[in-house]
Amino acid sequence: MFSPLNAWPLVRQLRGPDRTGRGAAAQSRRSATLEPRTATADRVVKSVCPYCAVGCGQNLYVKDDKVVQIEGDPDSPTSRGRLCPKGAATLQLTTGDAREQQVLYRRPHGTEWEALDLDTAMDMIVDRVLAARREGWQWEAEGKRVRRTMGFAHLGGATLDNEENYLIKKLFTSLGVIQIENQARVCHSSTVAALGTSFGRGGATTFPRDLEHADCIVIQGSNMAEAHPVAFQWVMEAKARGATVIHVDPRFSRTSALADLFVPTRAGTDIAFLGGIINHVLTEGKEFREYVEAYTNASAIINEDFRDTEDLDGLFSGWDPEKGAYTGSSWQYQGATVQAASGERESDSAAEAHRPSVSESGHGESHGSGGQAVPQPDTDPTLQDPRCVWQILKRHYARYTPEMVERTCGVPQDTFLKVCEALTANSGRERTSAFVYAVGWTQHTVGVQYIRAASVLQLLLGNIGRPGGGIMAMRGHVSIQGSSDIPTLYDLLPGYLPMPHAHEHDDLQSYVAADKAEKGYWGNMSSYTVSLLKAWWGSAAREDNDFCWDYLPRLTGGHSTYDTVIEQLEGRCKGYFLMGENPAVGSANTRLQRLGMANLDWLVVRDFSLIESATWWKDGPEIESGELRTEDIGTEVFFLPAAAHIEKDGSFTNTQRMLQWHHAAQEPAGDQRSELWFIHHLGRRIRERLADSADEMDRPVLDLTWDYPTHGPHDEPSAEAVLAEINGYGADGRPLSKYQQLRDDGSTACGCWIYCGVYADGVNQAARRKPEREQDWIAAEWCWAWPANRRILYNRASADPDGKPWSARKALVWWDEEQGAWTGHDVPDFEPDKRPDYRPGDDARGPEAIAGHEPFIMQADGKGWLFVPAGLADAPLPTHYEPQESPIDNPLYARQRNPPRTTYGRPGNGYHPSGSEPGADVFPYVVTTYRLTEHFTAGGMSRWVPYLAELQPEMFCEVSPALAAERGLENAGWATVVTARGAVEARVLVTDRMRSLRIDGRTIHQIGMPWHWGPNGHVRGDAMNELSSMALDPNVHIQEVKALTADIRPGRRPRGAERRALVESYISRAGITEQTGRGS
Amino acid sequence: MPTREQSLAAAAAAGGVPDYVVAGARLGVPPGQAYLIATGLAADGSGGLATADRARPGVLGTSTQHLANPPAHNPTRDENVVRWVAERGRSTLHHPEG
Repeated sequence: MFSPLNAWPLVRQLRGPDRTGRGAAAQSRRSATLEPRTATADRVVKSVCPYCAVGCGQNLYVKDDKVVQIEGDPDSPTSRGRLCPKGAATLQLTTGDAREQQVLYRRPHGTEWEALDLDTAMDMIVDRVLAARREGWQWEAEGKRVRRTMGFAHLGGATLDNEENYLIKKLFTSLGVIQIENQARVCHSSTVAALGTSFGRGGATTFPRDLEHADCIVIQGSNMAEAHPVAFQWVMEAKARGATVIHVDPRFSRTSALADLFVPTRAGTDIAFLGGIINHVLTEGKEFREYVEAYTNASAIINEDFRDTEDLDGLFSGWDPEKGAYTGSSWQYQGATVQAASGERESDSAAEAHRPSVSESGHGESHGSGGQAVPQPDTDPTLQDPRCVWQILKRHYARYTPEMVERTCGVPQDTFLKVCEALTANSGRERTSAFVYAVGWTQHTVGVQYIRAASVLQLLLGNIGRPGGGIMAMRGHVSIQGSSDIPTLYDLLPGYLPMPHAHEHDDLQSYVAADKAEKGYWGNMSSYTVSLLKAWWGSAAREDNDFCWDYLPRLTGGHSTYDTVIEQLEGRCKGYFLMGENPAVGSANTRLQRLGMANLDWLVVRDFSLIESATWWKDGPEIESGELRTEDIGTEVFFLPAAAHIEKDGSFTNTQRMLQWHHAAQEPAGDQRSELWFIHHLGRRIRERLADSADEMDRPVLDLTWDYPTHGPHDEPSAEAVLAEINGYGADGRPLSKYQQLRDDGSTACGCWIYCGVYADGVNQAARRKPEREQDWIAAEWCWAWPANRRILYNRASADPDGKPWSARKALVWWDEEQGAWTGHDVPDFEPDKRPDYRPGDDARGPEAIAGHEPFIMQADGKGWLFVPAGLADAPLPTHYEPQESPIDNPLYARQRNPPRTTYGRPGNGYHPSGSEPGADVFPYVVTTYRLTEHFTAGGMSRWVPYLAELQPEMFCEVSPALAAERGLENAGWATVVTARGAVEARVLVTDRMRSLRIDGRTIHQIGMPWHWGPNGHVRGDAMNELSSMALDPNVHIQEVKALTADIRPGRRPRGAERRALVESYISRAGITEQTGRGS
Repeated sequence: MPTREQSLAAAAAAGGVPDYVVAGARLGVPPGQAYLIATGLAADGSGGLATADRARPGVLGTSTQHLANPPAHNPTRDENVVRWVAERGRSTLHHPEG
């Protein structure tokens, strides 16, 4: 009989069997009827978290073809079942009510959205694509054949699948589009150029789980515990084993709290800091000498014309002040003819005149999976020749003393020396140290050189290719590695083949001959290129027509996303596709981004929700300020709702180069479609429309292989078929197993040579999921990593020149004399049966020319490059320059800023004076930016998710108590931060986490700002990028947003026209013109 | 509710690697629950597994998700795609032997 008394938990506890109150007694009647969502599921679909590039495994619990719960997959060797707050909110992201389900249309000058059916929208988009393409068509530019259109552009890809990126690049390239970009440009393009030139491939050299084997981990330019929390578990594993963890950062964070040593530093000075450690290693003799002598280019002799910054007070030889660029021939090896990044055409005298345009193109990314073509240089094995790399290195870094580090970075000398000692004591034969970084390093006007500095250091310490060593690039989008490998990037073709530049002698043979290496795996470049052309153009690509080489559009300089904005502002770029990217919040100088879009004829936005890049025309900051009026804006806007990862098959490539397949678990709702669907059917409709065309400009798109099988109610193309094309196949129709099978005679096709093997034996290797507990830490049977499923790159270097492990404790791969093969825990990054004592003959070419003791098999000399003789636009050795905007003069050199950086002198993009320049005191503070655990990039996948919005509800800025006192800022009050680009408001967090530093006798205050907010979503705020400028690294065109200057004042920002007036008043006070800050 | 000892015994009854499907059937509880009772660890992997935990009696050295979850869907081969790519290769590529 029911008694109300029994409803009391205490009574139940005392009367029932559960006297301790741990189970049934604590249960209410309601909770007794509840069951977990997982209990109702009828299947579990294997998937991958769609947020950052750690790539945590997810289990999708499905009932009646609907996803009812999403949890971490404990089988994943990467995540072991863990998810961060974002990953744990994935169910709400994907099945919540914030996702749009219907196509929306804004007609020119319209004031509201209108409904539009998907079929009509697709037809209208086809009309606009064909019109803009024709209007912007160029057969020639600057007197050279280019076969391209400047009429429209594309942005976005790092949140998309590899297969989607592949079709975007394939279709748009066939239409002649060159302005194809994604988040990789603005996040990690520096990584590709830096690691690619240093070691041979542009991806992280190791993987997060291997960090557990490190004896020391330096995390710098990254707040790993908050930005990549699940990967951070491996740092904690290492610490539990006794490793020393060091965090170097302008801001104290959870990473700092868990480190053994936190080193606060001034934003924008990491090269000075790392250069100081390099100098310590060199002067104290702390290098791993045998490793350096055997595996690096320390002994190479540099051209006698070379002059260092020591000789030219901050410049290297080859500087052309008129062009604002280096001509790098003096940086080359002696005895070796160096070919420039884009090959022979740029190395001959005529093309040398165009070298600035090559550097403008951000061509440093090409060969992101391999180095430059260089024959063997003259060497001095004793390392005594004054022109050998070793001696140049010693001279170059001699001025990076502990005193100079303190003056520049604000790091006390004793703290700095602790870092040096920890790092060197934990490197060498028996011990290894790792570096971890993220966009705190990449997003600078010297971003490439930040990562190069770590590369130099890790080579000196013998930490590359070894367990517990390496350089771990923590990428921020789920497949930003994949969208670099299969690039929706203007300067690359799949597999880091360079996009061709316009040139007078422009055929396939000259492209390949100019760019391929005589030695190493780039020697097979013609096979990679021809196989790509066969994958794209099938039967139409024949030997007698150069395999349709002429179908590829040509570059004539910079066409990055920032160049595209200029094209929009100038009225030459009329159309724009945005797929999963939100430049109105996430790109530098968001005001110019929006003004560019306001100058378009049409804009297509594909996303989950109505992000700021879709709605700026009705509610953007310029509407509020009166700068723009909705009725005056002629841009036609199409919003097409996107499918989520749970609604489509495909692969993501995570931060360790690993392709992980996710399966569709439910159908998308309403008009939601995958990008694969959109591009496939856009291409199909375009081809149908042009079917009868005899126009030569239409041949490339009509000749495309575009026959993908489809399935389901929406005719979804098969992602696995696209993956099979990417993998490659032979004339017998069998999928290829390895890139060594590729040929240049038209008998093989391969959409991306570095991914060859992911569909070996007709098996989707990226879908393999052998549980982590059933494998060692390498977990070779969990999905598939490029290249050739290797997990630690250059692992031949884990053994000594004779093929024996440097130490038993750090054994990874080694030569097994009995088997006559390399063996070990990982797939050897070496020809499996090449003996350590193999020495090539003089006539050896390609891989055969790599000796048995040369581990960097993609490098043309087989060496790790301490000194980069070719391939970079700004320096052969990392050199400290101040950020584009800095409160101090460069303490190290007379040159204030990176001399060849890219700047844009135009209204709205003014740069601040620096150091002792007049007007610099108007913007006295350093601003640095960062991400939060609970939000994601530009907010499109978090500000609309209630769980996440509630956890981080408001834009804020962090300031030190000293700065708060100086400017009258109150904790939890409002502040307005002002630059020459914009003014934003934020709540103030007064905290010791931001340290004020003593720099050269002055106190420098720093302001920390997250960059996730914008005007839309459940939680709203001003976008930090209203403040930033377009100032770019010359190698890869990444923007500098990790260090800039600003003023801060108490109170909210002005509304309406007053906001712009405030900015203009600052510009006036600082005396800023279009030329300010553009000198060196 | 079975005890820990009962669960361990039932799982070990068949000899060799503990079998919690058999144990669950014998004890009248779901296999995942039999595993939880025997080892103190959630079969779905939702609890953190420290190295020391792996030495507990009855702990499996393999994934245990199948004991608690419905069937997993993770196909790695699509015969339609294999056929499609075979046709693509044969129809578009040059045969080196002519």
